[in-house]
Amino acid sequence: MKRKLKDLLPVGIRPQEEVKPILIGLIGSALFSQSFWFSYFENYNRIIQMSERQNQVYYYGQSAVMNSFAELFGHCMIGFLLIAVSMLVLAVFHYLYHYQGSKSIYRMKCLPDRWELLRRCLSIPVLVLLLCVLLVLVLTLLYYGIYLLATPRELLPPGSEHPLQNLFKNLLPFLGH
Amino acid sequence: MLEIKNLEKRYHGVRALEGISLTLRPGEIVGLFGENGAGKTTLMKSILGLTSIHSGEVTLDGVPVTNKNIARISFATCEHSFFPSLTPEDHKEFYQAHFPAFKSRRFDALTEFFELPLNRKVKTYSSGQKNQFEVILALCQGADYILMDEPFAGNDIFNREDFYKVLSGILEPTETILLSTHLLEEIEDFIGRAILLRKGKITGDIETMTLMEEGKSLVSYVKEIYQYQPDRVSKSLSALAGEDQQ
Repeated sequence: MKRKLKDLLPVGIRPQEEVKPILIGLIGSALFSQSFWFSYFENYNRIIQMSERQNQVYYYGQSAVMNSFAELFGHCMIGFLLIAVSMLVLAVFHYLYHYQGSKSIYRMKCLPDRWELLRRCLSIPVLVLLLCVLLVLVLTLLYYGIYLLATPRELLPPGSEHPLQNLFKNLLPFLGH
Repeated sequence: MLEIKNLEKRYHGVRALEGISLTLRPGEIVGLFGENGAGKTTLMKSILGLTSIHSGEVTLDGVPVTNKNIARISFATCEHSFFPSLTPEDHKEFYQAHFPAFKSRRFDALTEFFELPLNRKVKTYSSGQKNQFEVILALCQGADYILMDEPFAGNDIFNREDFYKVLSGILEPTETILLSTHLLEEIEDFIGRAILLRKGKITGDIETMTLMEEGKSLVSYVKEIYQYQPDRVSKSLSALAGEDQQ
């Protein structure tokens, strides 16, 4: 595994030099995405405070309704977006790395395997990018599933079965808003 | 045979190479000379495809130089093309993986001869050692055509002489060298042919044997082609002195 990873990086970069910060970034982004639950509980608490409690049963007012999934979701996946952007920077860094201390770019461009340079510059950024997309999808579906299951049916906002329409806008905060 | 036909290269509209046609035959050791900016480096980079050309073609045994046959050409440059963060052992591994004809025994022999520490990263080498290592890599790639662009810039005279001797000793009859350098006198006995570039054009191409028969040295031949005026400096100094007196 270590050997294979080494072959996906510019010659001279040790895998741990890149894997470590990327892993920290991914874990950090996944943790930051938990901010969804802060929004969720904050919203739920607000409704609870407005509700009446009799014999350990809450009676919500007729107007009590949870925020939509898209509203609660907000920018909680922004960490992954930042990682995705930094992967573009990493790809450029990988290419420029071949100019550091020598012009090893000449060697890389003169290899019989014409894809070697591209493979070493782009593999990790592309793989991490795909991993980010996958994590965002998995976490979003997970959060959405929990949102639907954990929220009392009468508090679900109308149309909550189609929250993905608005969600996409929130995933791309700079484009959507 | 490495053939260059009507090669033309321009940088921002300025012609760097103009109508270069050249043939390097197997086994030749060719010196490439010219003043700074004459186009020596550009010519080598054009052969390797490291820089785009505007017209002309470079072929290797009649076939254009591409990734399919690029392993047959190696390049040692004063800018260095090795990987600074790797040790020579790591380089050997990398080259073996990418160049099937890599000459391991030659690599071991040359690194031992030049006493290069094999377990140290190349970036920790002295500039002389870096040059040596760069040339060693080019010689060991298993290429038929070895291009060297001022490979000994920064090496001391003893070191360079060692290299010429080693080169003469280890080269196989089919290995061709195109060596760009300013050290005319030093390599006169080592090369078999001299090519002169001036302002992007070939202004001279002669066998050293012919020079010997004519009783000329390489330096005098170059000066002749360049129409070098020996009194140029004294004239300038006199002019300057005249200005000062006025």
